[in-house]
Amino acid sequence: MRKYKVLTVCGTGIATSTVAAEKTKEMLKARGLDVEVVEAKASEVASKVQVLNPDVIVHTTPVSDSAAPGIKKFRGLQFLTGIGMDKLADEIADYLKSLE
Amino acid sequence: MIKFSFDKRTVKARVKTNSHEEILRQLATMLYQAGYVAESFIDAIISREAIFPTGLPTEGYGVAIPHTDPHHVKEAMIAIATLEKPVNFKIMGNPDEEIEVTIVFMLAMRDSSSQLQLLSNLMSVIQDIGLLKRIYASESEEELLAILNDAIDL
Repeated sequence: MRKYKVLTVCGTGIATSTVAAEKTKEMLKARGLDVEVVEAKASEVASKVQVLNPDVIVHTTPVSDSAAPGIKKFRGLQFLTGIGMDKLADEIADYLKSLE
Repeated sequence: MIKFSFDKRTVKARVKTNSHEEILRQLATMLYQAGYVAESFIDAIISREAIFPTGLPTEGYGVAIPHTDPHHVKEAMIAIATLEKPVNFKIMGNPDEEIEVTIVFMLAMRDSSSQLQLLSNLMSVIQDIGLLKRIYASESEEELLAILNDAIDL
């Protein structure tokens, strides 16, 4: 199985993307997926997308399509509030598995 | 990991405030006066909230976690206020919607990797409705500090 690449994005790249990154890693691992997670702040998205070429983006601040064309995006607020966290992780996992 | 505990000077119970900007300014000023952040942090936190709002629609109690660029921060701290009556914050990642916030955790963070455990424990606090209830019910700063230091437990 291949390793999937996830980019987590928040406003400053200091607080929420860090938490979202950890949760994403933990919850996708629990779903049997091997993931590499990289954090970015909103202003870095376009350049990080080019370097990393992520399979998905998990964001807590809006990401424009022009900054990350053609990449599936998930709002990651659930990883911070805990509400609907499992459902979100299932959705991301299902999407990644569908890429095989 | 350095031991972290909350500071009595940056905790405030039952604050009366009329707007989110007013409470942001008050908490940021407390952090500045206690020496945790540069004076520039105060305006930075207010302008960042306008661009990247931090309201979180948690269960029962609306929470906000305002924070800003690390270069305004001298030493990591989290300032906390519970509000006598809620004020509106825009929702993180969804600036078209607002929520009523009753507990504000203002994060003064330097770099995320060394503070991951702290952030992660804080998120567990935010996700614990029983704990949020106790935080909100605290009548004094002493009571609030005791609950918080116990909950964050680093």
